[in-house]
Amino acid sequence: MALADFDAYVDALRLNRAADFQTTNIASSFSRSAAMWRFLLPAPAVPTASVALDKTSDNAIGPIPNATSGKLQILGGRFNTSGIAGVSAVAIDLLNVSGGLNGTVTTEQTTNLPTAALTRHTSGEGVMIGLVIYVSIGATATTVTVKYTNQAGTANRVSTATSFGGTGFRDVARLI
Amino acid sequence: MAAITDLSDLINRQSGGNSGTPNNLFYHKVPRVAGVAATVPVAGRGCSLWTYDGMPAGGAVPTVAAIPDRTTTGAIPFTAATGGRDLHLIGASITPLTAGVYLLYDRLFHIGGLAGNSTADQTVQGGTPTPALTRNTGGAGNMAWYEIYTIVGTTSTTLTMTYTNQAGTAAQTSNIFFGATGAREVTRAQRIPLAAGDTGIQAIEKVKLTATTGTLGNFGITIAQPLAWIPVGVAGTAGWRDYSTGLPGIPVINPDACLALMFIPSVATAPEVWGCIATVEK
Repeated sequence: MALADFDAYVDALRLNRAADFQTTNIASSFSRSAAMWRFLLPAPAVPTASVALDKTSDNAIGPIPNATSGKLQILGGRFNTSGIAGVSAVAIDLLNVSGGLNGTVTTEQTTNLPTAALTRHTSGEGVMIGLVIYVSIGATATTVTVKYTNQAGTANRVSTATSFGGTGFRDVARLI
Repeated sequence: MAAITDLSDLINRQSGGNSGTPNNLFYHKVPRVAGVAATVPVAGRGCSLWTYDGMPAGGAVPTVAAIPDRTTTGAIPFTAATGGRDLHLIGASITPLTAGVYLLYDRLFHIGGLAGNSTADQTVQGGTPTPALTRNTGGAGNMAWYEIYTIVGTTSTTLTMTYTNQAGTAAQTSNIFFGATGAREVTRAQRIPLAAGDTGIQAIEKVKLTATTGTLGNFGITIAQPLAWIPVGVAGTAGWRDYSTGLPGIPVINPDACLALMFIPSVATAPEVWGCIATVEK
């Protein structure tokens, strides 16, 4: 349900329906993306299969309040950080995770792939792919490509090669 | 075109009311071009991200004069407003690996395949503009830059642009340095000043180099309508433009706009970029 006007917005703020969360120290590389959800407390498990996630997952910020009618609107977000002067965070809907892939193999890998069918944003429009490092891979810089089905339903699309391994692209929680 | 009435109207549309169709369009770019590490940019100099890989995929090097639009590979995709409404840009943010100033713009026209070793006239749109602009055709605020697609030579020379200004006056000329270190590297995008009194471009007839740079290379000319300068003071932090509370108001995005990025880096590091543009319809 839309907010009718400024007064409705202020009224919604007054409800103070917040989802608080905490993380442990986030391992990151300067100015590189990190999979922040890996450091939520309690720590989510490393996926051993392809899992379509929802708000009950241990990867999710919670508790997310239930909407009795209409839908939730994000009115704002705030991060209190320690040990770092500046940070940017992107709030995302984590649709699916999988794991078990190998950083030493140069043949096509299908472990835990293809991904489980999406349950939200099923058209794929605007959906992004990320590679998450769960255990450090090697120090040799190479590239990786991903085969995927695009928003038009066209299968076997292949991404352009992108950096993988080596400094900044190998450490735990690095999001590529 | 219907203006956003007031803050209440904006909040209502941002939260999905009154066919506001709010949208947050996320994109990212990685410092690679066609799967290969991108050329390191020059600190303090303009750099085009048009060909950078990511989502959207990198744009192709133009081979002929063309009018790119939102369906062109390389453009940040968006859904055009429907029902007679306009698409309003209410916010833009960027979080990059490289600090600098980023420009979100509508890529109105581009051409490639120009030679860095020719001193002859090189046609851009020609005397009768072909193709003519299809967006912001009045030219007000449009800017032009040369864009290096294959490195040109080490000899510094001057590029002269002959163009039609925002008032429709043809055969206006202006010039800028071209070639040599800082003005020859791939992805380098150098804005071309306009003649005194001019405030925009309707068409560019031709360009001409005073002398050869010594290497053929491949360069092009781009005409752009700026939408948002987004300063990022510290790498890894977000530069944010909130149009609902700050100048220059709330821009309308043309339904066919080819949204793209260029930037002026603070340091010589090719950027990895996360970004988002927020829109509502009215």
